[in-house]
Amino acid sequence: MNEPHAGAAPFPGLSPALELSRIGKSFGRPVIKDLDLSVRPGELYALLGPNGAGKTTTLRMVVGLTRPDRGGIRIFGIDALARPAEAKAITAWLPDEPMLYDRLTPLEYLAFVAGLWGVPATEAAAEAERLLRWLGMWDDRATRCEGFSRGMKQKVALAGALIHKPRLLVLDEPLTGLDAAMARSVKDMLQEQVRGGATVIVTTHILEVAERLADRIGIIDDGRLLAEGTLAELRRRAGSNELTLEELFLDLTARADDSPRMDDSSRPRDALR
Amino acid sequence: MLFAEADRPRPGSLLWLILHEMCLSFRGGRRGFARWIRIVLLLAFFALGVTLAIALRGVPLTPKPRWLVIGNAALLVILTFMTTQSLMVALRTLFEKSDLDLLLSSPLPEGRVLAAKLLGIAATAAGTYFLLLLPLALPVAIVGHPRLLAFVPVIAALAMLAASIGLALAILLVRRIGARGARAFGQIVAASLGGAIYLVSQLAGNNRPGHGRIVGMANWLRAHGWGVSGWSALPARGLFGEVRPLLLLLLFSVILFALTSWLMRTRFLASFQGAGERSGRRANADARGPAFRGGLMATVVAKEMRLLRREPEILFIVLLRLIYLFPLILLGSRHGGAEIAVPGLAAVGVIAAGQLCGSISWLTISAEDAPDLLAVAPVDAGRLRRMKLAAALVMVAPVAAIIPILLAVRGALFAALVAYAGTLVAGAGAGWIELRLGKPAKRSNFRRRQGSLLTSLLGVGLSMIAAAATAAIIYFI
Repeated sequence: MNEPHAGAAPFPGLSPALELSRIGKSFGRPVIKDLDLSVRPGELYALLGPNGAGKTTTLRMVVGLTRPDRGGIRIFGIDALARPAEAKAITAWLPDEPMLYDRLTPLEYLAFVAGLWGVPATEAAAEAERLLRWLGMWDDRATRCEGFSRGMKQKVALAGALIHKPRLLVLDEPLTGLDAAMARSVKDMLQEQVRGGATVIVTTHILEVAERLADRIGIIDDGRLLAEGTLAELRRRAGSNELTLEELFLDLTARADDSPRMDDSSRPRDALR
Repeated sequence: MLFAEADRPRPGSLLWLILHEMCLSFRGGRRGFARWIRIVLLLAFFALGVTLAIALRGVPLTPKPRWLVIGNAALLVILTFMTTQSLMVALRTLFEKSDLDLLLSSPLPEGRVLAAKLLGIAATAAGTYFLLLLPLALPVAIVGHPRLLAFVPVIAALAMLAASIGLALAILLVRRIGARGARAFGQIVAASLGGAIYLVSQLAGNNRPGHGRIVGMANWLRAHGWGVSGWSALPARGLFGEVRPLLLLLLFSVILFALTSWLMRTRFLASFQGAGERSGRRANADARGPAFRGGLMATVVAKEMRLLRREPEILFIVLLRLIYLFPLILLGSRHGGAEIAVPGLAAVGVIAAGQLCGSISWLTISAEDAPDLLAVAPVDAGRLRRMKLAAALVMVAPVAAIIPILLAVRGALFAALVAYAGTLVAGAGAGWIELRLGKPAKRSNFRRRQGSLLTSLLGVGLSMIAAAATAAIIYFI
């Protein structure tokens, strides 16, 4: 397990990598309710929550795709709502459904993304080659993405997210549909990014990933942050050092639910709504 | 090299984004054979253009009323097709699985991204018609008719108009009926356009027997004072190189285009950023009726009917395939007495039933979305396919019964019975062919091609034979 930073900011004095203050959003009904969240520079932060908890909506607001009804978003001190271009320039977004073009080849796709983020051409070309070789996609660089498997598409999208060397990397369920080897290399990549000084925010259903990789873990349900901290801190809060993250998670989300349930806390929430 | 080319526009610029849009629009899905067909077609167009240029070399092309009307009609047809094309491109690029998430998460200004989208829609529409018209019109213009070069700005103006209308329509439709409904609408309009133009030409041409269709249509328009003078003549006058109409047309399209861009920046962006994830937003389609039924047959029929009901565009295209039968009915009712009309009507009914059954049974039997699910189910595959055929027949039966009932109401009881028998033979036969020879296919392929050529030909052949036999029996007995 990764040794957590035990709550200490790795770069004291710097503004948080991400700071959400009293964010609210409704789609007919409130989805995010006055959410406060702070992620430190250089940490790997895992956002956990049951289906429909508001994880993806929160992240889409962070990367500027959905506008919050109220509240503030700061990325490395930049007001993302007032100066979106500056915030987006240092942020990368990797959703669970890869944002790809079927009719472009991986190399063409990376050239396009590099152009969007204004990466100088020679630098982008070298970085594209490095990324594609690292992901084992170099031989497929000139094949259109339409025939790729899900894992291959995810790799190309991952290269796209990394080509502009983001300071804040936001990933939504990056391990969905990946085989063990690929999942492993994504996990390695996340750690490598953090070692290189980047900040990573990741949502996942796979609690083991959060348990092993994350410096800090946030658990949200029903649009609210239920608990936050290192695994040790979360355990202390629950009053037991023996609990696994799964048990902690189920305990916290079941407690937050209005209707008391005895033994069905593992049931997906969507089915209950 | 992809990353650094001096002659390319600066990455991230408006032009760069537009080129990206166009590159995606024109990059075909299939390579090889389809590309060769395209090249051969272009060469044929060019040869036609050169022939036309030689033929028209000495002929003065002045904006006479007849030419104006024809020019105007052609432009109107092009504008209509461009508008539906723009509507579909707008829906695909803005509301369906699109790259907007990627583009809007980049640090480029949102206004530039959306402007590039809109200009890309216009450029795609213009590009398509330049590709079609340049090889045809350029030789004519070069060999003695330089004024005809005005078609270039005219097409550009039309493309801007089409993009504006298409985009406004897309935003409006999505707001009213959702993205899926809007796409269905677009497909229906696109599919019916060809049919509508065909029907109009039939009706117009039928007014005066002996005239060609185009000429008949032109005369009809001229007689109604459309496109000869005043505002309605502007586009055609522009096409013939008159400066003021051309400028007016361009000005009008630019203003409309700017207005739509503004609408898009404010309204579309607001609704995009106000919405959550756009996938799966469709509400439960309908909660009517019990979803669980007793008996395999009832289950299969209910499933097939439900699927078809949820795809109104497919149903519409099925009906549209029967549009060529319309002139036959017209012909029968106008030129012949009762002795031709009744057998003719019966034959039309039989062909329609055959075609309908062919299409619907292809949908139910061959275009199964989850063939593996059925294969692993503990039900005999052959039995399941027969049930699917039965479902198709059940669905077509009410439509196929219309003409026999019509004949019976008119008092031609014997004809009604024979027509009914013919309908049964053609319908069941077409379904049987599908059952025997149908190959698994994707439902989404329906528009492009339905089943194999062999089953189509056999189906049409069987319908024709049944129709001819029905008509002959009624006529002679």
